[in-house]
Amino acid sequence: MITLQIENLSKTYDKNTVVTDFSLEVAKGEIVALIGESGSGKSTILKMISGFEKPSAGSIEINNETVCSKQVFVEPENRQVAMVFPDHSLFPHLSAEKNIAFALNKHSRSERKRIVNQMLQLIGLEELRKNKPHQMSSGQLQRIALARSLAFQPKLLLLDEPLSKLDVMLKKRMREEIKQIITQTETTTILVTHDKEDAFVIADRVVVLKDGVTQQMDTPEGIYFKPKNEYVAHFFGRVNTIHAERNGKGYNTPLGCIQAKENGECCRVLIRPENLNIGQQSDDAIPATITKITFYGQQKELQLQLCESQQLITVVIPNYEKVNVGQQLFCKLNTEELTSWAMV
Amino acid sequence: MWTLTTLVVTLLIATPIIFILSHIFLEPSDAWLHIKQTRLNEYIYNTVTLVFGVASLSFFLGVVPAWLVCVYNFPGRKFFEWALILPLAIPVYIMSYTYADMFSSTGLIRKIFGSDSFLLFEFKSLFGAIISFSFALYPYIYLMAKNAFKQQSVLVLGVSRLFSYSHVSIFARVALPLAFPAISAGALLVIMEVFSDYGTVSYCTTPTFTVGIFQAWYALEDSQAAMRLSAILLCPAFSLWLLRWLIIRNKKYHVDSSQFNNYRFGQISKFSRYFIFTMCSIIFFFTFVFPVGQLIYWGCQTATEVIDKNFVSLAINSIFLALSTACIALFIAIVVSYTVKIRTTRMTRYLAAISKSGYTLPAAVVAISAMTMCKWFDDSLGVLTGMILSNTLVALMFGYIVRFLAVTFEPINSGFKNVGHTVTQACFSLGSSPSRTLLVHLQMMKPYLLSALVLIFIDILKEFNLTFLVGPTFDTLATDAYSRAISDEAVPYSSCSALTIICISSFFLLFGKISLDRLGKKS
Repeated sequence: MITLQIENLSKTYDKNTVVTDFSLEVAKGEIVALIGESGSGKSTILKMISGFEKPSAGSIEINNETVCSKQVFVEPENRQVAMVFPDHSLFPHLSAEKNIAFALNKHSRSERKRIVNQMLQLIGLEELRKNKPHQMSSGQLQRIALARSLAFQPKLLLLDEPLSKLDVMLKKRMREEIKQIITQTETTTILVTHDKEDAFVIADRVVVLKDGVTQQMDTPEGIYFKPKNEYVAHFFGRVNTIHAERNGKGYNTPLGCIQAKENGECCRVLIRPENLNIGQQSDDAIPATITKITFYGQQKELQLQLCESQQLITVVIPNYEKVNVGQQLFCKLNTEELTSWAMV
Repeated sequence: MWTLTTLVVTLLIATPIIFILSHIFLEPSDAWLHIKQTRLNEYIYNTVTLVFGVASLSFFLGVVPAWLVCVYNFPGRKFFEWALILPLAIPVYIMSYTYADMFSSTGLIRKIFGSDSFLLFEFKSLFGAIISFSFALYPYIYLMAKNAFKQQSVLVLGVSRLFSYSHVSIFARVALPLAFPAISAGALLVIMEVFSDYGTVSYCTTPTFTVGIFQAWYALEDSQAAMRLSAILLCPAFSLWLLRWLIIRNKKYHVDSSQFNNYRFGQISKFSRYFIFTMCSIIFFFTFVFPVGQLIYWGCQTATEVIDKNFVSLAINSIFLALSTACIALFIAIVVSYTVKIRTTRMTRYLAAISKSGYTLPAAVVAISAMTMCKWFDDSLGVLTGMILSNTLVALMFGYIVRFLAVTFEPINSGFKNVGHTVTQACFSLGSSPSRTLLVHLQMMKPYLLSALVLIFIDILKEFNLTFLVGPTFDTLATDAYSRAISDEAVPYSSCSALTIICISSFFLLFGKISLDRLGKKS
């Protein structure tokens, strides 16, 4: 069953188009992440879904009911869509339980109490029920904000950069908690973020946006391993861009031959550093010299200059490998297990 | 050096309070006993009734339009957003005598509706005083409430809307409780103005504490009784500030988000839009257009007789006095706030708080203490005939600064906060001296400096009570308007002075608004 259906949504401010022909279908209980840099239009899309912005064109349906089209515009208060804001936006004058109860204005007192207890239990903050927002930590506040939205039993939950103001450690924990809570309640969710890890951990599907245009829409694995263009490839991690020329059924690259069905005489190949192996001298290994070593904790990143073509490429090796700048080694393209490459 | 300067300034500002409190413990005089037996109950009753009446009506006139312009789209919204501030340019006593004339036996109401109309009532009464104060002072609450409502817009127009609450529920359950600190601060400013006023209450024949202080000082010539009455008046003033502080302490009301600032509730019905428009129009009409219209009518009749060389020099004197005092106050506020910023200690914070306390002092209290201090200074120098400080411009300016310094602190503090600590730290780390660093700050605080200057300038230009008490030898537009207005036959002749005050104040308000908008766009 489709909960959210967006068709050809566009938004223009004066002459500046921020969203162009955006379409999306979200199934019930699915979590979709909208990801992109600042100004990519992701928050504007969220505001159009919630009803705070009117689209310039296109339509939005929630549970098969049109909430926004040329003829129809349903106000935010009538859409039954809940939203969690970047700064949690809890009411500073209300306690944690009253903040959650705020979402239950149409319920009886006993029903309200029951749902509040259930929500506090779900987020594991029962003991802080009487605390005011200023007496709680950022993570607790974000959990209360999430509980308030879920208590509303919305048709659709919108998370607008909910983790952007948390520190790295807390963020890591909160990602998993949010995912668990949303999955448990089977709430259809749209997450807006600029952090790829948020999107990968929380979402079932990811939509990559650039300048208001959809670049790719896929599962996290699909986005990472099969990026459709250089922008998506670079956005989600380090990547080597290598020139390739057709040779019979495959393509010749400075790193060896790749079998591919693509047409065209020339193309660029995008290869993730983890798909390049460093090893012993062999027939298909390419000699290269280390020009730079960067230590990243879990691994080391090497910048290599290929001896024949002089091209610079990046590879990653385990952190315990001992290497020096200027050292010569051999790198090999792992074509059999090649998962993260794309031709553009 | 910065802390020492702040200490000296604070001591000077705090002296009036110390002076007044020191007189409570002296032996009561006969005049005081007479006042206590015959008039004190009347003063208390009138003051309390006036405060409740004005606070309630001003609350309605200030909070409701502030909410409407912040959350709804209706015809003329942008106009009303700033136009409803304009009554701030009308001194209360001018408001009272324009309305009193309309309700008089020869006034407009009787001419239009006849002498039997139910609309006719004796305006020179407690009720008339409540209307005059509320109509002229509600912009204090309006301004504070409007800023608070805008600041909380993410909660009102974002979160609450999504949870399907009615607009009335959102107003009552979210907007009002969150805006309480701002609205209560505005209401207290209004109440302090009521405590301070002499012109309106004496014109409306409603003797309050301030009238008692004036009478003790001038009619009974008993400074001790005046001081004692002042000390009593200080109690409710301080108690109200203390009560507000007790309510809001340890509570967080601030909502830091501007992303919903330009949002409004969705399309409302045509009837509702025009109902809101009519409501705002009625408020604007009765609080600004009506009294100013009456003054313009009088002004046209009397301008040729009133406007001469003396009038022009009176206007120049008033502007000079207001502008020079405003500049001195601005300088003091900058020094004190900057000291707190660069030398943050418990002592500097207390000193800054004391410097701001002047606004809690009713004007009459400030005037009495400034005069007594100056007299004491002159006496201790042994000057018998001449007066070095008493009744001079210096005493008057001192009184103005004590009373209005707090007005400049809010924008200046906000300005320093807005510049942020990183700029200060960057300046110092590059070897910049505190004075040079201050100059860097001031260049980044132009909108805030302008707001502070405009606010205090208007307050001083309108101020009548202090001028009347402290500087009878120095006439201003305010004292001229009042002295003509208290004589019934000469009421129309006061209109030129009153209109000049209103025009200059309105001009400064609009100039301040336009400049702030421009600076805001640039930044």
